[in-house]
Amino acid sequence: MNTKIILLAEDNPDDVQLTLRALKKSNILNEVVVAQDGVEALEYLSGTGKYAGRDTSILPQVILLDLKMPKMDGLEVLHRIRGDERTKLLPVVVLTTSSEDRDRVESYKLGANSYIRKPVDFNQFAEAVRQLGLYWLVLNEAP
Amino acid sequence: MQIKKRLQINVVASVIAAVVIIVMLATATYRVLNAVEASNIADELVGSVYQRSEFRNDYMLSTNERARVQWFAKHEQIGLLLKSASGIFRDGEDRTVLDRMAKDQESIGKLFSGIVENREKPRPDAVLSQEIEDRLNSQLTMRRQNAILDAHRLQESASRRLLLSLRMSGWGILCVLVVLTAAAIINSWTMVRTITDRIKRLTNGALVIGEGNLDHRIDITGDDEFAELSEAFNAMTAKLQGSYVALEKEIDERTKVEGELRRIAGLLDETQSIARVGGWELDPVENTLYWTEETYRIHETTPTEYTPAVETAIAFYAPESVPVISAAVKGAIEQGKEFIVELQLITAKGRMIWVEAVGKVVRKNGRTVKVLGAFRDITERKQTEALRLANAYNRSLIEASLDPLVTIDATGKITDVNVATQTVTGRSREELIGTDFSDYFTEPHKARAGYQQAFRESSVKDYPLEIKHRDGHLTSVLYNASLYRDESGNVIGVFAAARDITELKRAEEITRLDEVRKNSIVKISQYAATSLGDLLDLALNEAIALTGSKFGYLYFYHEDSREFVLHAWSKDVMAECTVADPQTNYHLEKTGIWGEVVRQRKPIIVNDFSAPHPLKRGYPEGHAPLFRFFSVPVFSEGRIVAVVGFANRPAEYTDRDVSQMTLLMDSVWKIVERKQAEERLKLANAYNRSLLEASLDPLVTIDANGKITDVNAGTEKVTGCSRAELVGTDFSDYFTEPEKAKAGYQRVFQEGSVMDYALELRRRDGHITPVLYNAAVYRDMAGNVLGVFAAARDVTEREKAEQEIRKLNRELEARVVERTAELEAANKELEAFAYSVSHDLRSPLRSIDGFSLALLEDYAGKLDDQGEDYLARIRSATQRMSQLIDDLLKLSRITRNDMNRGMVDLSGIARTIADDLKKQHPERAARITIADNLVASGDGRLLTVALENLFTNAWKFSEKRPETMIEFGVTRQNGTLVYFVRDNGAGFDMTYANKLFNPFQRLHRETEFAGTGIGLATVKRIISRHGGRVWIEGAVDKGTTVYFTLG
Repeated sequence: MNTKIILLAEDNPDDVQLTLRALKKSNILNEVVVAQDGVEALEYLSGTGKYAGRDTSILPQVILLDLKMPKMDGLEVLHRIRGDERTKLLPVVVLTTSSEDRDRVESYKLGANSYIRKPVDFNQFAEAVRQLGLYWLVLNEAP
Repeated sequence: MQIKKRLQINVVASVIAAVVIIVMLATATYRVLNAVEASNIADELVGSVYQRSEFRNDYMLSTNERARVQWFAKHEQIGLLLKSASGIFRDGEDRTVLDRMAKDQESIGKLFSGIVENREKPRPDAVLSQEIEDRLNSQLTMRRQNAILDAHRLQESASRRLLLSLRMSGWGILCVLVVLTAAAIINSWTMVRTITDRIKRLTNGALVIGEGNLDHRIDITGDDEFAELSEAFNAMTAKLQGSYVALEKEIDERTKVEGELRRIAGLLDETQSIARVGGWELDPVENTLYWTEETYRIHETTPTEYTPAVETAIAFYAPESVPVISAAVKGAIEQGKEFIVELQLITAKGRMIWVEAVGKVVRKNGRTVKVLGAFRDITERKQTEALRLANAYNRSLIEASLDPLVTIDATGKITDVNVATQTVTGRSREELIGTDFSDYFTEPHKARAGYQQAFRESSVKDYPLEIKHRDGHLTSVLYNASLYRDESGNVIGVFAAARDITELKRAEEITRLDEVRKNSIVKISQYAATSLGDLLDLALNEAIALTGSKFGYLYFYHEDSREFVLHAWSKDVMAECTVADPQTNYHLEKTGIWGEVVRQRKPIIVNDFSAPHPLKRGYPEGHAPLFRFFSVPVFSEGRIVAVVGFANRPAEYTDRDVSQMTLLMDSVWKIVERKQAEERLKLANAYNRSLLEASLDPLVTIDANGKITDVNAGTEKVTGCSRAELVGTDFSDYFTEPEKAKAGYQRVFQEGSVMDYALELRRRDGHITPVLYNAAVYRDMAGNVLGVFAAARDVTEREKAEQEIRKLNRELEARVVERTAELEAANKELEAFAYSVSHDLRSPLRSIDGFSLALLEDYAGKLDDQGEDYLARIRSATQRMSQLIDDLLKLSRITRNDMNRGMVDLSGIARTIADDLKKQHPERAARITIADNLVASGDGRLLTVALENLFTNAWKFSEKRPETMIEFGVTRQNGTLVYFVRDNGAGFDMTYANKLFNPFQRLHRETEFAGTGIGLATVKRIISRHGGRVWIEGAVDKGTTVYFTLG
């Protein structure tokens, strides 16, 4: 059993489906935890709410974070993650549709490790996900 | 013997003594050391012998094994000590003791061995053993006693030897020291004696020579240094003697020369005294001055009273001479100029004299090293000269006098005359002297009575007489005469001075005429002429009367047309004239003699008109007869403006008439001109006034007190007061702020003018008119300020207009704020829209594409070809839409972002883009030309986007050509730089040229050339944002050129 968990924070079920498909296509078979909004993502990380009682010592290997989410948007989630001593070193990849400069700049300012714009062409998207997985799950040494 | 050698001997002796002492010390030390060693051995021997006895006793009492062994050890040690002692003690007695000790030693050894054997090998018979032991023991005791004694003896002997050795060493050293000291003392003493003696002799010799006895020689013989010294002394004395003799000879010669010089100097002084010429010499280098005796004498001083110096010598001169001599001496010193100057000098006794100073210069290497010269008293010459000059001057004054001067003796004979007398009588000096004074007058008796009165009363004054000239011409004179005496007071004669009063009489006549003329002028000027013609008529009549002529005329003359225009002939002549239809205008050329006045530009006189005259042309039939005539031109500012003529006076016309007429006509003309000017001025004034009155602006003049002096109709209107009411009242009274009005005109008086001074005029009915005043001082011809001229401008309308403008401005500003806010809101909306488009619109597209692909992949077998084709089309459309969205966003971003202006390297950007294109499509043949150094001001990022679009288009539309050709360059159109990107691509139909810059506007099908139709719209936006213009030219299949300018 591979313990390298991927936390995917994404509200759009289509995108969840497509992302999972892309991961599968790239033979990334890690366990993927899907949080359907920002709050849920934070609950997972802190073992509260829906995830109350979860063993919080297990942290995801990488977080794939959508920016535009209900309740709490991605930038806010990123801000919280970086503000928490426990999670501030977690690799966070911003994965979004937006290509607005301000989103990119803001993400990097808040400490995103990577920023990926989801291409419309699924093949390109799958390729991006593959490279992402390769880097963050295989090559990257956790700090 | 030389002192050096003596000193050397002393040194050698000391060295020898030192060596002897060292040797003696060494020997004594050796002996003492020997004695000490002997004493040591003896001491040890004594000690050992005692110890051995102890060991024996010990053994005897206890038969101790250890004691036995120790005894034998000690015994052996004593043996060894004895052996070494035999090497040291060599004395006979000592040797005997030693031999004895050696024998005892041997016996003691045997005896103790016997005792030991007896005790350790017990005999049966104890008594015998005891016996043997006792015997042996006693023997041993005895021998031991001997040994102890002998050891002591040796010890004593050694001590004695030590003592002896020490004593001997001491004495030896003492002896040597005594001997050495004695030798040194003796040597030094003899040396001192020798040196002292010789020094004394040297000193005495030097003293003798020093006192001048050069024959003296120092007598020291021998081979030492003193002998050498004395020889050198003697040589020196001999040389001194030689030079002394030479010196004496030279002194002798000098004394002789000096005597000669003194003689010459005496002679010179004598000569100078006789010639009364002094001498002096100035050394400018040393700044010294030397005077000869005569020079002192001239200065009336002596060498004891005064020492000449450059600074003080100058004080002798009179102040007016100081600069003369200073300059002369300065010139001599600085430029080498020699001089002769005459100077006034005040002697030491205070007498003022004249001197002549002559200066000669001695120069060396271009510099004056000496100035010398002569000095002469020239007072007498000067006085004589002055007297002569005074005489000549007096005579010249007398001769120069225009008054006839004469001296008469008591008999009435002339004794002297001056030039004027010769002139007035027409006789020479020689003819006059000696003749009767009275002969030369029209009334001789009256002349005689005159000088007799002078003799009687010592003077007469203003005595009128008439002098007769040789040619009969008379001169009226007034005589002043007085007695003159010789130095002792005796009367010599009468000195008579006549004053020619002919001129005076004539002047009186002129004065009279002037009076008449002035009266005429006054009359003319006071004549209230109704016209200029009347005035001139009067003037002409006055002039005729003044000259006493029968008639006269006045013509105007025009220099430009050279034409005379008749003003008038006098009335009398008109009566006499019978010329039918007399001419009134004449051209200069047509005139006869009367025109000469213009041609010659001066008055003419013809006193005998009947006489033939070269210039006369005759007058027409019926003309009044003429026998005398004169004419005068009238000038104004250098131009002849008129001529007047007069005729037929019984007496002749003279220059006096001419000058009178000239003066009169000048005055008359001035009056005429003044009248003309007044008339013009009146007209001008009326004109000015009408202008002022016509002005709508209120105009006013104010005096220094702020009172109104004049107003125009504008002022009347604006104040509601009449002119009569306004003049004389305070200017400031008519304003809402009188103080400010007052301050305004006061400022004008101070500063000369004010501009746009705002005030409010209050009309009588209370209506207020805002005005702006421009005011300035005005002056009379002499420049004196007369008052202030103030012009107001009614600004009611202007203020209204300004208020209107301000209101409009405010509204405009409000509108701008409003619009700006609207724009900002719109911009925000646009931004929000763009953001949501970029996010929300793309999301579904991704789903469509993603799931289409999933369908294709996961249900591949369940779809037929058409189904797959549909899905492929869905995907393609999706991606196209995604591209459209991206391009739209880009376009909107260009509009939204701020401009960052800077210098942009367009050539560099173009090159980068071209390189990228070539890299992306390496298979395409392309030639891209880019002009160098295209640098423009603009936003680098935006211009990069624009160029990217243009290059991408050019690249895209030329892809079907065998070789793509793209050119980027610049041209100049109407002075503006125009950049262009040209390709050889598909081109387009110019009909659509304008549409191309609209978004999504395309001229080609997607299948021909891919694209969204945003590119050129983007370019246009970018260029517009730079304030530039973009346009496109091309034709189907002929390529395209896009031009653009940048602001």
